[in-house]
Formats: sequence, C-alpha cells, structure tokens
Amino acid sequence: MLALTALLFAAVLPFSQSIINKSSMYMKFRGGYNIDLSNSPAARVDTVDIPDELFIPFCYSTFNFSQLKVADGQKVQKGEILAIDPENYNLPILASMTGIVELGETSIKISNLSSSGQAEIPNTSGISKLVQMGAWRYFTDAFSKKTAKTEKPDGIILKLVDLDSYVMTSQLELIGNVDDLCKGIDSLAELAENAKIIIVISNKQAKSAEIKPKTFAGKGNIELVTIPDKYGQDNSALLADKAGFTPYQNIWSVSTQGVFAVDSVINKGQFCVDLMFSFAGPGVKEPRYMKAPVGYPIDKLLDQDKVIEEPARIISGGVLSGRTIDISEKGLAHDTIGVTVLSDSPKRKFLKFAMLGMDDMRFSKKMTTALGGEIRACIQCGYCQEVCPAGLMPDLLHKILYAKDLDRAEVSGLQKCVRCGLCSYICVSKIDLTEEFIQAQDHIAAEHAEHAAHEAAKAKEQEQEAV
Amino acid sequence: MKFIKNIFDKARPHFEENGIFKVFTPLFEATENFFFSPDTKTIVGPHVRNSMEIKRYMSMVIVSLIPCVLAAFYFFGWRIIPLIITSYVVGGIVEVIVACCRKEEIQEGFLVTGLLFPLVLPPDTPLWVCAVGVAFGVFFGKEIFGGTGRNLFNPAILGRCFVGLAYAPDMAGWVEPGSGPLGRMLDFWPFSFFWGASAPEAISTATPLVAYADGSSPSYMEMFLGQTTGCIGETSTLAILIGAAILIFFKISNWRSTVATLISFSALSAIMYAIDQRSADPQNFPPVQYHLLAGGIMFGSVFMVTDPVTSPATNAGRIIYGIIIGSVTVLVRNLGGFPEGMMFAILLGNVCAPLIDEVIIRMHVKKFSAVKTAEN
Repeated sequence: MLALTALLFAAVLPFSQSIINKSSMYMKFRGGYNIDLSNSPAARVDTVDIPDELFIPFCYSTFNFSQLKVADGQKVQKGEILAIDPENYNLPILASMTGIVELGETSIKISNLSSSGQAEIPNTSGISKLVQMGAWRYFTDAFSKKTAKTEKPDGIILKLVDLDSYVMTSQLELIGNVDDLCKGIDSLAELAENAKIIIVISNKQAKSAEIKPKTFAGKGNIELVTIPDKYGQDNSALLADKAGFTPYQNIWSVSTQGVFAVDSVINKGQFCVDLMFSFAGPGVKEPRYMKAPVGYPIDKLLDQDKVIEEPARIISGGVLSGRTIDISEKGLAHDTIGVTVLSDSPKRKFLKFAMLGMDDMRFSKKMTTALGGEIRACIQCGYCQEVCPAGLMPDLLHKILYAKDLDRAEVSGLQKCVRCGLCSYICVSKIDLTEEFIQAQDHIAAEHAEHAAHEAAKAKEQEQEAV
Repeated sequence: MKFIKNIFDKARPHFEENGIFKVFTPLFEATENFFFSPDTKTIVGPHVRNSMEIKRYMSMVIVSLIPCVLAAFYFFGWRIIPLIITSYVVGGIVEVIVACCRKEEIQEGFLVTGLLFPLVLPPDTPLWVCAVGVAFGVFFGKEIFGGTGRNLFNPAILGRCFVGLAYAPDMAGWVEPGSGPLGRMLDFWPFSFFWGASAPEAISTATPLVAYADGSSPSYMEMFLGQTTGCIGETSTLAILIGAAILIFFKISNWRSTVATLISFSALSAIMYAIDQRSADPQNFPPVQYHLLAGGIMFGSVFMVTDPVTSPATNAGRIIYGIIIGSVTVLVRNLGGFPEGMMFAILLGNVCAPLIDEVIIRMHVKKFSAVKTAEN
C-alpha cells in the first residue's frame, strides 16, 4: 500500500513541478491551464512595400458605410472621403493612398497607387476634425464598444494596454514616443473640456518605467490607474464601471493609437490612414508588428509567411475577442488591431481526454479552433464564476436565459457582462455563454429602444390632443 | 489506432439516418467520441477553447479514486472487481437505453457514478444488490431529472440509500481486511485455486462505528491506513487524502464544501463529546479523531459533497451546504438509530442545495438591482 502511494506521488510530482515552474511564463487563466503565447510578435515594426492595389472594405459584419462619396473610375487623393456611415455619426473611411477607384460589392478597390499627393485638410476643428481625418475610429463608447458619441464626453478611459493574446500591446508604440503621447493627451484634455481622463496601464508597464505618474503631473483632470496583467481586466466597460461611470453617460474609450492619431491630426495636420497591427499566431512563421495602409490585401499579407497549409482561420484582433475575417473581405478593414492565424482543422486524437491536461503545457503549438469536447448541460463546476472579470455568475445567467426569463436576467447582472469571452473559453460543457449573453443584451437593448419610441409617440399624441 | 478508426469508419453507415442500427446512434457516437476526440470547431468567439471538457473532468475524478480502489484491492481482494464491473455494465445499460429513447447523447457523468457506487458498498455485497442499486440510482437519481447536470440527488448515494434500506440483510457483508505484504490480493477463487490459500469467509464483524460501543475498536493507525471493516472505498483515510490532494491540486473539486463539512463535523462532535464526558449519564460518544477516521465521513466529504451538480453553485452556498452535511452526520451518528449518518446527511444536503442557492443568489442579485434603481 505504502509502495503504491509512493509510486503515485512519484508519478504526479514531476508534473506539478513543471506546472509551478512554467506558470509564470504563461498568460494564466486558472489552475494549471494556461495559454502559451510563444508565437507572439517580435518587438519590431515592419513597413510593407506599396502593393499593386488596395481593397478597402466598406460593408462587413461590424460596419456598414452605406453612403458612397466616390464614383467608379474617379481619381482620389490620399485622405479623401470614400464613404460615410450615416448611422454612426457620419464616420468616414478615407482613401489610404492616391489612386483610381473601382467600386466592388463590399469593398472599394484602389489601383495605380502612389503615396504622393494629399487631400485638402478640412477646415474644421475639434471633434469634427478628428472624425473627418480618420482618427475617430480609435474612439469607442466604453460600455457599448460602438463608435463613440461625437459630443463632449463625461469621461475618457485612455487604455495604454491591450491584454488579448497576440494583439498589439501598447508598450511597443510607446518606444521613443512618450513626448508625442503627452502632446496627444494634452489635445485630448482640451477636447474633453476638463472631463475626467483615466489613463490605464498594466503592472508591467508601470514597472518598465516608460510612464510615471509625474509624466502627467499638472495636465488637468488626469488619473493614472494600474491594472494586473490579466486578460479581462483591460476591458473598457469594466474600467469605466470601476471609475464610477454609468452606461447613461458619454464615456469615450481611446487606445494608445488613438492618442497618437489625435496628436497627428490636431498638432501635425496628418491624415490617419495607416494601420499598426500585430501579425502573429500559431500559423505565422515570423510573428511581428506591421504598418500598412488601410485596405492592404490580406492575400499578400498571408503569402509572405503563413506556415499552416491546411484551412486556416484568419482573425481580426486577438484569439479571445477578435472576429473572423470573411473571405469576401479582401483587404484589411479600418479597425484592424491585429491579424491572427489559427489552424482551422482540428484533428481527432486518440483517447485525448485521458491526457488529463498534461498536453496543455504546449498548447499554442497545437492551438486550433477546436471546440475540444461535446456540448453538454451545465454541471455548475463554477469555473466561469472564477474567471469572470465583472464578478457575475455566468452559470446562473445561463440557467435564467435557458428559462427565457429576460427580466430576471437583467436584475441578475446581465447588463454588467463585458463580453470578454472568458466564460466561453473556460466552460467545461462547451456552452457558448458569451454569445448567449450578447444576444440577450442586444435583445433587451432593442426592447428598451422600442419602449422608448413607443413612449415618445404616446407623449406626442397626448400633446396634440391637449392642443 | 488506425485499426480502431477503420472499424468506426466501416460501422458508421449502419448507424446513420437509413442504417439498420439507427436506434443505437447515441451509443455509436459515444463510443467513437470516447476513442477519438470530436473534431467540432468553434463558430462564435472566443476562437480558442480550453481543452478541459466533461470527459476529462470526469476522468480526473476517476484518477483521484484510483488510490481508494488500490487500497480496497489490497484489503478486500478480488471480490471488489466483479462489483465494479457489474456497476459499470448495469448502470451503462440504463444510461444507453434512456439515451436511445430520448435520442440524446450518452452523458459522461455516469463514468464517475459507476465507480463511486461500488466503493460505498460493503465488500461482500451480492452482485444482484449492486445491480439493482446502481440501476435505481442512475434511473431515479439522474435520468428522470433529465440527465447529468440536472439531477437533484447524487445518483450513487441515492442508489446506496435504496439498497441499504430495502435489502438491509444483504448489505451486511463486511469482510475482515487483509494484512501482510499481499493483503487479500491472492484471496479470490482463481488464485486460491492455484495457491491453495483459504477462501476468506465473509465475516460479520462490526464496523468501527458499531465496535466503539462494544469497546472492541481498532487502533487509530489501523483506521488511518484502512485496515478495518467498512465499505470498499471508505476504509483507507490515507488513500482518500491522496485522492483529495489530486482533486484540489487540479482544481477539479471546490475545497470549500470539503473543508466546511470536515470542520463543522469536527466541531460538533467535539462539543458533543465534551458535554457527554461531563454528563451524569454518559452515552459513550466517540471522540473527534475516532469519528473522522471511522465510517464514510472522509470519503463522503471528498468525493460526494464536492459533486458540483448536486451541491450549490455559489461559494458561500457551498460552505453552508458543507456545514449542514457535517452537522447532520454527527447528529445521526451520535443520537440517531443508524451507526452511520453520512448518506442521509448528503441526501438532505442535496435537497437543501437549490434552496441555499436561491437565498445566496437573492443576496447577490440585490447588489445589481441596487445599482439599477440608483441609475433610474
């Protein structure tokens, strides 16, 4: 008996040691299960050569620039407005290079490219200048994550960090650029007319001595917040909530690139037509950061160094919060912050469940889009409660939504869900919890809007009757 | 591996829409997915998922039960193997029939139930009692509620309770544990035939909890190692502690319910022991350490109380749940008519779990609704 016990300990101990030793190197989610990010981008920025043509998508899953401002065959200058989105504060997409326009169904093709020439700088100032010169794409509403309202804000969350795997963490952009950053923050503070600005950095950044509280000393209503290096903590809705803002206020969330964009538009008078993004993931041979114009052909990007020959999933953004890039999108969209390549053909492995988690240590080399199991009923294991950055009980919300009780879901904190995706990631029963919550949130939002419209109509009717 | 894959590829057409074995599709799918991980892909974000899944989760519990099975094998010999096989086969048949009738997938929760159930039986239980018990537990404890994840009671405990009350005389097959370098490992028919060892008689010795009253209790060391009469998996505290370490290290079970059960159990039994010692007419309650090492408290608090489905979903709830189970066990043991109270305490806890959750969730929800009214 004792000998058997000793044998069992001898079998388990080496694994436990390796887990403890390695855990600090990984992006840790819980227990011994971590995502290894060994194929993260190297700390350098590559600038691409001028391509033959650009494909600027104007209609895809998250945006629809329905009002076209150019005609087929027209010659456009760099910075000229190609189309606007009337439903999104007239957010424009700009021609990222000078060339000749050819209209497609979902994207605008620009050929005969040259980098010379620039459109006239619009004769406006403040927020509308930011919108017209392409900087507004970096401004989102902290809670809804849609385009920010173009009115004076009640507060600004300035995120100098992005913790999703593989996307551009902001450290790199800051190298040698702290002066520009400060100028950008000054301009931003001027625009915000003394609204509170919360600058968010990670623990690591705080240690690396790039940004110190004294950098911002005497720059108005600025507060520096440090967050742990853990995905989910960088969510703008969570940060805004912690800062005491409510979804009924106009809270902007601005990324590091957004601050640089403000600086280049307001202080330097340059159009924001270039993308800075990470090109990484298990499917990329030489992961790195890249600088390319909006609309840079995705095929050309992948031709350079994709290693996965089998079907691959190309993701705009990180593996946790990114969206799949559709084949019909031929070029990089204007909101790209990262391009991640994953294998999209999970293999059937023999007795995989019996590996007991030991195969996870080198997860990224095999990181695929596999669901990893069968969909089952919730067993209340409680993992989702452990990982939820908003402190919700996703298993409880799942149960309530399963019973289609939206009112109860609302009082149980559904609206506090920040859509980070960690509960879906961790779920043992492979339930798409985040997707469920997103749909329910959207449904409730639609209901509220309908209710408000109904009330407004009723009030108008009563008014008319009174007259 | 390729060989097995070929078999599945050849058999698949028979189980598809027009095949002759269409009814058994769930069985085929479950077997195939058992051998080869499914190749389903994520459709919505996040694009990657943790490789922890139900099958792996359940197999971690089985791994943590292996020390108990090995200890039982040493102390009680080969007789435990037919019990485990019977439990898996009969329970599996019930599971497959229900899945085929419902046209749903076969659920993995049974992998654990099938092993937990024989471990809480006396070593010399007749096989038919084991079969009836596991069938009752799986069907009435789990399937009628809708399967794993929706059950109210722990199926293994419900089955044990049923056979314990219905077939009480058959459930007294206690066996004197083996000793020496080989224990009872060579004590079963095929071996006794070859080795000439005497077949063990099923001795009706009293379990430690009964023996304490007679003054014939085993030593603490014997009880810690498991060299006492008792249910198959429950005797060896050492093996259970190894299992507990595995479960807690890999975060499979929530430590809160285990710790709450053991602390409330120890506290209440210590209080009762102290009061009893000072009273004019002592009832001779066992001391704390004896209570902890005897009977099913350790096994129950490590493997049964931590069952995520039948325990509350909230951390605070799990602590309350543990306290209820720990205290009820002591009360039944010391004051009730049964020597062991763990089984009844767990079933009572299972019934209370949804109620505890409701109370905790209401308190939790108040936080959010307070925010909401403030906004309005």
